[in-house]
Amino acid sequence: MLSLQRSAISADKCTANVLPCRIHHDGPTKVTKRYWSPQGEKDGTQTSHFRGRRLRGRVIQLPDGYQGVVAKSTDRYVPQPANNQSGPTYTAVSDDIEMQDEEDEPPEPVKVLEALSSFDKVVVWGHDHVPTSEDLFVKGLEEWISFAEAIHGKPTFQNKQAPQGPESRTES
Amino acid sequence: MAVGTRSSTTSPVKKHAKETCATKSESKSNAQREPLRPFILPRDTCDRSRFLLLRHPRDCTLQRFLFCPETGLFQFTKVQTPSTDPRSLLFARADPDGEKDSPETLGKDSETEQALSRGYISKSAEIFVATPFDLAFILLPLVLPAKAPSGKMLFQPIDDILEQHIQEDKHLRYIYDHGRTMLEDAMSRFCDTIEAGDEQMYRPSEDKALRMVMQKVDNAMRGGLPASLEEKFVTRALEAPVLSVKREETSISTISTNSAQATSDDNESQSEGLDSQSTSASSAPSMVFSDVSTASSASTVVPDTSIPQELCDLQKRRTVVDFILASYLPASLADRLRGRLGEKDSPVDFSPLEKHLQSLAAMRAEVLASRSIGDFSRKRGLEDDEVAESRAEKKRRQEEEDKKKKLGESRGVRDLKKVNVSGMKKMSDFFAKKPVAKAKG
Repeated sequence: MLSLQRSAISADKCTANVLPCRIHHDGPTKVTKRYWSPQGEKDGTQTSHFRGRRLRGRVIQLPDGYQGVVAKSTDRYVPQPANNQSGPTYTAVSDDIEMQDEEDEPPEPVKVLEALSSFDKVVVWGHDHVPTSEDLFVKGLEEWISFAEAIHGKPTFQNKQAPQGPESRTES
Repeated sequence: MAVGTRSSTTSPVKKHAKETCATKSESKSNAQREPLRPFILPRDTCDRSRFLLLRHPRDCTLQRFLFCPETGLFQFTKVQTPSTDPRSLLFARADPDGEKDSPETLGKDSETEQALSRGYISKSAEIFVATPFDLAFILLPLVLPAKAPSGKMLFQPIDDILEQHIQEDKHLRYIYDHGRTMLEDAMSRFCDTIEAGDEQMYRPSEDKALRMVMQKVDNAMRGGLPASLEEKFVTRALEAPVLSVKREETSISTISTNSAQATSDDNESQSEGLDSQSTSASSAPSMVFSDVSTASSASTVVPDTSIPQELCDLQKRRTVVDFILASYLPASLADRLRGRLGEKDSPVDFSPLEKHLQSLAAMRAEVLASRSIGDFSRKRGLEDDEVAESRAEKKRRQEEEDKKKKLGESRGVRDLKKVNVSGMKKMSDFFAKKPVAKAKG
C-alpha cells in the first residue's frame, strides 16, 4: 500500500517531454536554455532542437480535474493513525454479555510515495513532424481518460472548486 | 609460464575487488536515485487516498489502483510504446522564459534537493494514467458466482457478502473501512435490494448487471467513441468492399465506383452488380479490388452515404459492449451476459446489424473470389499480406532474441564456438570420474 505525499518542494512545476529517442540515463541533468528551448508555434505545436535535430512537439493539456505528478518511492512509512490501537472493541451479544472482537490484524503498513513535482501538460515530440493522433502517448492521454470516464462514470470531485494554484493545494 | 599465469590471475582479483567497491557505492547511489514515476492523477485526492493492489475482475491478477474515499476508485494504465519505438522522458521547466524570476526558489531547491524542473531524464518513458474505475466491476466477480445460479439467491447484508473477501484482502478492506457508502452504492447498481430493519440487504442479479452495463454503454455513446476506436471497429467493420481502378481509363473508373456505390446501397442487387463487374474485369485486366481503407479519398466517402445511421450506432454500441464485457468482467460472466443479449428480451436488438455484417462478409468473400480471376497486378492476396506481416514480426522478434543472447555471452565463449569440438571429451567427463577413482583408492 502506498500513499502519495506532497513534499515541501512539490510546488515545483515542470513539463513532461516525451522525446523520440532513448537516453540511457536516469537522473537529474542540467537543462540549460542553450540545449533545450522549445518555441511555441502559432498552431499550438512546439519546435525545439535537440542535438542538432529538429523536433516538433504536440502539446497535450491534461483534462480538467487531472494533474501530472512525478513521484519517488521511499522507504518511509506513514505513521498509523492512533485510533487503531485504542484498545479492543466490544460487540454486544446480548444485554449483559459483551464479546471481545477478534483482534483484527494490524492494517498493512503504508509506504510513502513522495511527490516531487507536478505537470499540467505533456509534450510528445517527433522527428521533424508533429506526432499524429495515432501516437500511443497521444491516444493514451487524450482519448483514454474521457472514454474511461464515460464507461465508469465521472469521478465525483466533491471539493472541486475553481482551479487553484499549486500552493493552495499543497496546504490543504 | 606459471609465474605469468599467476600474475595474470591475481590482477583480475584485484580488479574485481575494486569493481565491487565501485559497484557498491554505485548501487547505493542508485538506490537513492530510483527512477521516478510520472503519474497522471485526479487533482483533488484527499490524505486518506491510497495506492492499492486489487484483483482485476477480468483475470484475477493484482493490479494497481488508486482509491480515494472522496473521489472514488481509479485504475492505473501504463502508457508506453513498444521497444521498437524508443522514447525517453525529459522533465524541464514548464515555462522556459520564467527562469529568471524565481531566484529565491532556486536557492531553496539547491539546499533540499534538486528540483525536477531544473531538468531530469527518465530512461523509460512510462506514464501511469489513473482513470476512474467503477467499484461495481471489482465487486461483481466476488459477489456473482462463476456458474449460473441454479436456484434463487438469498438477500444478504453487505457485511456477510464481503466478509470473507475482506479478511483475505487487506487492500479491499481499506476500501471497506474508508468507503463503505461507495461500496453500498456500487452493490445496489447490480443487486436487488430490500430494506430489512435498518439494514440494506442485497441479492446479486444478472439482469441488473446487464442493465448496468447497457447504461454504461449509453453513457459512452453519448460522449462519443474515441476517434481511433471508432475508425478501427466501426468504420472499418461496416465498410463495403469497393472496387477501385487504376487510373488508366477514367471512364471505366467512374463507372466502377458508381456501381460500387450501388452495390453498397442495395444489398439485394449486390450479387448481380458484382457478377457484371467480374465479367467486365476479365475484359479489363487492370481492375484492382481493394478495401476502402486502402482506396483513394473519393471512395472513403462511400460508407457515409450508404450505411444507415442506425446500423452505425448499433455497431458502435456493440463495440462498446464487447469492450466492457471483455475488459472488466470475468470471462464466464461475460459469456453469460453476452448470451442474454441474444435473447428476445434483451435491451438491444443486434439482429439488423448481424444481418448486415453477414451480407458484408458474403460480399467480401465474393470480391476475393472474383479477384483471383481478374487481377494480375497483385501477385499476392489479402491474406498473404497478413501472413507476411506476422512472419516479419516473428523474424524481428527472433533477431532481437539473438541479439540479446549475443550480448549475454562472453568473448571467450564466442571465440570457442569456432573450435571444432566433435570427437573431444565433454568437459563434464573430467569432473564426473574423480570420485569413483577416489573410492577405489
